[in-house]
Amino acid sequence: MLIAEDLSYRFPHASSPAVVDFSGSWQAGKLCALIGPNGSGKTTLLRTLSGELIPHSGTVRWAQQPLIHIDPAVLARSRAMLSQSPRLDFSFKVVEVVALGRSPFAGQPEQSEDTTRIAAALRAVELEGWETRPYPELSRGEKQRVQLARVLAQLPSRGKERSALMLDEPTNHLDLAHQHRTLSLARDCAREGRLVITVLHDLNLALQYADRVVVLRAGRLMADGTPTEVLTPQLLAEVFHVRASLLHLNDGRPFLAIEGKSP
Amino acid sequence: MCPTVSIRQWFPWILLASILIGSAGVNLMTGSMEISARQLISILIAPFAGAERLADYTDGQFAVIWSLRLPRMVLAIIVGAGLAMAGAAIQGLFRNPLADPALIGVTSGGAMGAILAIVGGSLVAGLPLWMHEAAVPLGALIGALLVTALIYRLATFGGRTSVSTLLLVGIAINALAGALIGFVLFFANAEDMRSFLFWTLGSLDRATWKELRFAIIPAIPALLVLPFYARPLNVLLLGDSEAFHLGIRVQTLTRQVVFLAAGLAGLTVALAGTIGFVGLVVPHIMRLWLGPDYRRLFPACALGGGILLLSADSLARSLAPPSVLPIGILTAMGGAPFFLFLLARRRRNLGI
Repeated sequence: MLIAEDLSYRFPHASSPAVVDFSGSWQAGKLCALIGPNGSGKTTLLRTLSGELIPHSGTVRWAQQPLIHIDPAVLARSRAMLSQSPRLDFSFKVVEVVALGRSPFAGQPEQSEDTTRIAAALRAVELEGWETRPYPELSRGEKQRVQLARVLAQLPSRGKERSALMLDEPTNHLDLAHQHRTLSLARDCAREGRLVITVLHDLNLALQYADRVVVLRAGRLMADGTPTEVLTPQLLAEVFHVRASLLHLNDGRPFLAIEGKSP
Repeated sequence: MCPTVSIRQWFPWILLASILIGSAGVNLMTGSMEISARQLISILIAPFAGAERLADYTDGQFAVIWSLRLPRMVLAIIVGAGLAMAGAAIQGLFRNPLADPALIGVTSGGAMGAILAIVGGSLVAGLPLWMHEAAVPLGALIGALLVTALIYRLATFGGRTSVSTLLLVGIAINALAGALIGFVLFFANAEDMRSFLFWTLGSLDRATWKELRFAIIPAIPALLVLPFYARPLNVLLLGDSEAFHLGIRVQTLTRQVVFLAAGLAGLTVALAGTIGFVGLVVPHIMRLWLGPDYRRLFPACALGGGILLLSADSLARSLAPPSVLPIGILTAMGGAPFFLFLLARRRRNLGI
C-alpha cells in the first residue's frame, strides 16, 4: 500500500539529513510503531510518508501512485494524520474542532455521515457531552484527545483497506488509561483493515499493541520486525543507551523493564 | 427543524441587518441640513414613485441626499465591510486574533503611494483635473499592493511562506516605508504635508458617485469572493501542517488570501485613507459573539464593519458642525482603548 524507496530528507540549513536512504513498505491492516531516540528522524519520516514534506531523493508511493502526484484534497480523504501538539488559540467549540476533520468530505457522498462520524469520534476518545466546551479552555490532555477525535473523524468509512492513519506521539499529555485507550483505538483501526503508523516513545505500548516495530537512529533504519524480534535488551543498549531486561507478566506477555542508563 | 432553533440561528443576522439599516438611516439624516425620517423615506422612494411623489421636502434636501449623503453612506459601508473582512482574513492567516492588514504592508504601502502621488502631483504642473483627483487613490492602491508583494516575496523561501517570517519582514519593510515617507515629507511643501496629514487621518469626504464607480467595481467581487475561503481558513487555524493533512494547498491559499486581503484593504485605503482598528475590533467582537467559524465570521464582519463606520461617520459629522472630524480619529479613539482591553483579557485567559 505505502512504499518508501531510498528516502532522504534534509531540513534547510541543517548540517546533516534528518532521514537517510530509508526504504520500507507498509501493508493495510497492520499497526506499525516507529521508535527511536530524540532527533532520530521519526517525525520527519512520518511527515515525509504523509506527503507533507517532499523528500530530496527517493519516492513515496501510496496505492501505486507517487505521493507528490496526488492532489492533497484527494489524499486527505484516504490518509489522516495527527501531528505533535497542534496549537489552536481560536475559541472553537470541541465539536467544531472535530468537525474540521470532516472538511475533506465537503461536497462528497460521504458528507451525509458527518454527524454520526463526529459523534462516534467523540465517543471513541470519551468526550461525549463535551461538544460545546470551548477548546482553548481544555487541559493539554483533553486537547490531545479532541485532536485525536478530529483525526479519527477524518478516516473514510468506505474503502478502509485503502486508508491510512498516521499518529505522531499520540499519547503526549495523556494519562495512563487514555494512553492505552488511544493505542487500542489505533489497533482497532488496523483490525478494520486500515494501515496504521504511529510514533511511540513508550516501548511497552509498542510491545503490547504493535504488529511491527521500525527502529530509527540518526535518520537510518536500525531494525524492522515484530515487537518481540526487535525490542531486545541488546538493541535498546545500542540504540537508546539504556540497560533493559525483558520480563514476562503473569499471563506470559513480555514486558520491558528499563533499569537505567547504560554505562 | 423546530422553529426556535431556526429563530436562534437567524437572530444575529436579523439583528445585524436591522442595526445596519438603522445606522444607515441615521447616517443619512445627520448633517447641517436637517432632514426628518419621514422626508428621508419620501426622498429615497421619489425616483421610483413616479407621479405620486410626496412633495414634503425641498429640492435642496433631495439633492443633498442623492448626490452627497447616499454615496458617502455607500462608501462607509464598503470601507467598513472591506476593512473588517480583510482584518478577519489576515488574522486567520497569522493564526492570531490581534493581527491586522497593516502587518503585510497595506497601510504603509498605501501611505507611501499617497505621499508620492501628492508630492509628485504638485511637482508636475498643468495636469488635467481628473488626473490630480485619481492620482492619490491610485497611488495608494498601487503602493499598498506593491509593498505587500515585496513583503510576501521576501518571506517566501523555496516555495513556502512562513507566516512568522512574513510578520518579521513586514515589520522591517513597514519601518523602511515609514522612513521613506518621512524623507519625502521633509522635502514637501506645507500644503502637500497638510493634505497628506488629512489623508492619514482617514476621511469619507471624497465620496461622489463618480469615485464610487471605481470603488464598487473591484470591491464588490472581492467582498463576495472572500467568503468562499471560509472553510479553508477554518482549517488553516489548526496550523499549516494540519491544513495540508486536511487537503489544503497551504501555499496557494496563503498567496490568494494575502492578495485578496491586501487588495480589499488597499482599496479602502485608496478611497478613504488610513482608518485604523476597524479590521481589528469588528472581527473580535463578532468572534466573541458568534465564534471563530469563518462561515459566520465573514458575513458578520461585513455587516458589523458597515455599522461601525456608518456610526463613526455620523458622529464625525455631528460632533463639531459644520466641520467634519476625520473619521480615523474617531475609530482610533474608540479602537485603541478596546484593543488594550482585549490585550488585558487575553493575558488573563491565556497567560501570554
